[in-house]
Amino acid sequence: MVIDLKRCAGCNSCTIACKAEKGTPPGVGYHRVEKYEVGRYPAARMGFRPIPCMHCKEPACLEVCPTGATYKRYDGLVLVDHNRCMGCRYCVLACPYGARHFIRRIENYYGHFGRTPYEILKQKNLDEGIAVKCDFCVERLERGRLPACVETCPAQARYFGDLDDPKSEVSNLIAKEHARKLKEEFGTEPSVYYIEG
Amino acid sequence: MERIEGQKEWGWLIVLYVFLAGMGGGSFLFSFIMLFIDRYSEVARIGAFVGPLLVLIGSALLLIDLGSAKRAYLLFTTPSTVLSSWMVRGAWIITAFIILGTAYALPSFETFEGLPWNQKSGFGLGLGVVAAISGLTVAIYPGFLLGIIKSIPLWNTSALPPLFFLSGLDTGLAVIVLIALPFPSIGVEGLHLLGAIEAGLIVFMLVALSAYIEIVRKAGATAALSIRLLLNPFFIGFVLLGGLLMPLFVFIWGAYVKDPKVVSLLHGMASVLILAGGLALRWSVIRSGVRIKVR
Repeated sequence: MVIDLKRCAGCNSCTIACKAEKGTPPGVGYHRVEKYEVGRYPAARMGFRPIPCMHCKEPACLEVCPTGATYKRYDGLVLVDHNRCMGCRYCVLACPYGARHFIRRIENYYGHFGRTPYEILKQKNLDEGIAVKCDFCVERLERGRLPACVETCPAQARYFGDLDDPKSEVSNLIAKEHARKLKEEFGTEPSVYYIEG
Repeated sequence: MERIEGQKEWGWLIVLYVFLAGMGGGSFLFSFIMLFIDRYSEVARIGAFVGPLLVLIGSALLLIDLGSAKRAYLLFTTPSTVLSSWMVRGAWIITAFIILGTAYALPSFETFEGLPWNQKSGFGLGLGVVAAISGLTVAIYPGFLLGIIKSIPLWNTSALPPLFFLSGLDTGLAVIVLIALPFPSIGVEGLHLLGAIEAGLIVFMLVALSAYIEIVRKAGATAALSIRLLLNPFFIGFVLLGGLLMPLFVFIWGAYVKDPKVVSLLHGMASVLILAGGLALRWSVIRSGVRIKVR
């Protein structure tokens, strides 16, 4: 994935699209947008950095996972087998990008009205006491669609494709725009690149 | 000014486990040495049993802390993760220590005299050596469990395992001192000897703690922030003053006292302070772990 920070307006549509797609309970989100200050007064402005899971080539979360619940798929996606997670939260601490979340309790959004049919449907694969994360909307990818955050972005700041294909749009963008990865010093080799704003 | 916050994923149960693991491993190590050189055996045989028991209690707390404890068996059925995860290595080491340490300790109790080995037999001694090595590993392992987490600079330092290990020895010996107090046979001389070893360990702890703080302080902005969070009045009071300097002073003072009752009182007090300090050290280090910023 490539995220063009020059186009990102910090609207959080990606965060909301992710919430809607994955039906994550209150307090749990697979995506966030960090705000920061760029430059100095009087030329200071707000900068925004959307942060999904980086689907690293050398994931710190996979390295520490004691039960093999975290695994890497043939196409590089880093996924969690919820049936193998024992909820030790080692991955949550190890991920340098804060992309892992622990579901202590599944609460609903409408209090005493109970869980909505939408919540019941979307949360059927979730369980209390497990660690979860962004899976690049794997079920959409398998149907030939893009991840919800990419499809929703109104500024078209996100690009998704095959990093192993040197002719793909994402590979070209990375080369042309000198896109960079976050926290390269950790040796995790993230698969999300940023075109700095 | 920006608010500094430590991690919140691992709380009291993990703190208690890390504390009990160090203390259990340390008390077994000292007990094994005492039994091996045949000194204060009546105290050491209890210490050898208490060590694995403390680690067992700690492991139970770890289980309670899990989100889905029903899947904890997967720790032992996923061999491939032994190569990568310290948590799996720890689970195996802890299990080995509890089983071997208990097997070594039991024959010295009347009820288990019928067992085909004892602490002097070749097999019993072999059990003891392997249990002592695993006890040493149990005491040092939490330092690695935390130390490999690169996103928390307060933990990600080679200075943490020696610090936790020394504290494990320190608190382990404090347990032995507390066990020894009701036994008149240990005498003033025995308590003075244990007190002298304890004082030496405290000096090593002070050096290791200073080195740890200095090493982390220079490891970048987040690390420096973590040290600021760590060095709060709780840490100064319970770890530095209460857990190290006061017991050191009491042990030195106790060395000049000949009255058995006063020596027992002083050593008992100092040992309780050491235990409280050891727990406070784990709490402070674990809760002050500030995550690096993503940007």
